[in-house]
Amino acid sequence: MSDVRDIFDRILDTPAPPLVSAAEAIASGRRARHRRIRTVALAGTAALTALAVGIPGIVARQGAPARLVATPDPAQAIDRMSTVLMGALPHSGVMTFGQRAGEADNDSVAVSTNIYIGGKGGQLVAFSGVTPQGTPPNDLCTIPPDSRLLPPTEITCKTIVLNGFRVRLGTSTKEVPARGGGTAMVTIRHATRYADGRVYIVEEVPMVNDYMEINPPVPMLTNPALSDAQLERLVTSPGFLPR
Amino acid sequence: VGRDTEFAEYFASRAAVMRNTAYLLCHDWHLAEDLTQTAFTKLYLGWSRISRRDTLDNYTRTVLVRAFLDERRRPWRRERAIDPDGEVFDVAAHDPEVAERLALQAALARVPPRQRAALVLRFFADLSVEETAQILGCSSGTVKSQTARGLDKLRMHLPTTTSGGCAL
Repeated sequence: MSDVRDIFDRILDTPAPPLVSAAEAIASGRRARHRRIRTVALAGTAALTALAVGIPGIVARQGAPARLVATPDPAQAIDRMSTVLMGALPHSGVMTFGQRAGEADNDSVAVSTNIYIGGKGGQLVAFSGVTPQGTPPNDLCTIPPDSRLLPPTEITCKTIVLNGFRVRLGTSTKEVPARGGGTAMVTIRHATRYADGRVYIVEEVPMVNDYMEINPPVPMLTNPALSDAQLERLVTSPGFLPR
Repeated sequence: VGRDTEFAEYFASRAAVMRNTAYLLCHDWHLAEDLTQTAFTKLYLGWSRISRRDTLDNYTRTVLVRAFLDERRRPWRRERAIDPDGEVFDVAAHDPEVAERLALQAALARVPPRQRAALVLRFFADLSVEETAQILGCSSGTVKSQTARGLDKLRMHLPTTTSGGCAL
């Protein structure tokens, strides 16, 4: 069958366009990983369990001493963060996907869920990652938003102190493709906390994942699912911390 | 950083071969590039989970071949075999080597996709029947029959002036 191979070799004996570089391939892989983080929807049985926890549970645990480890077990971290995230949603009026979700590697963990309120959709994302920064400054707004999750275009930022924890509360804008062509600007609300070499972020995005592909279209959220105070409480939840 | 370095080394050594595999499957350099990119992106995502580095080639080929077969199911991607009497051969008429290459390409394009994939994996990638079966997600018997049919189809469409055509 070397003749078949010979045919293949002759077919390939044609000028080919240049290959992309390894750096471009890695960049593409990183973008895909980031998309996957945002794409995967949350929860399954973990979510159902989590719904019973609720925000009061999170608040009640805030005073507990945190055991901090640089790199959490990825699978456990996804489960734990999913539980906390889903538990933070209001019990009524908010629907979520019933699918399991999450992405983790040695440096970061992220979970997300699409949320629906009154026929409109958005997305809630929680992220935890190693940060090379040392002790963060008192004014957390002097640090740029973490680019692994957040867009650089921050329009508001304030540092608040909640139960002894400093929290960076910000809003950022992001240009996204619009249904029917053109682009639309969305405003993303996010809360960030730094603790022992890791950064913890919770963000609410007013559009569902893959909203360009979903038919019929899901309109963007006009009212947030979580208030600023809820975002702040959520990001300081000890449930996010590694064990 | 170690992960990216390892991946970059593997990409540098295997990307061209994988793209050639893709080109034989789809006979379009741009689509071949897309398929290769898809395969390496998925490989990057799964890099930390692939513990045996000797399986990287087959993992990448599996993603690539399945992406090709999936791609063909999309209505706007339905491929048309090159018409040997069409203008593309008129363009190449002044260069016999180019004309022959296009004729070979057209003959391969007329082999149905799964049979073509079996031929490419068996005779270009030098994989065994069992390895090919694993990549195509079918039995060894199916690979054997797809290969035999593919060879028949290829032989049927090869130009009579092609030396390879007589020997198949």
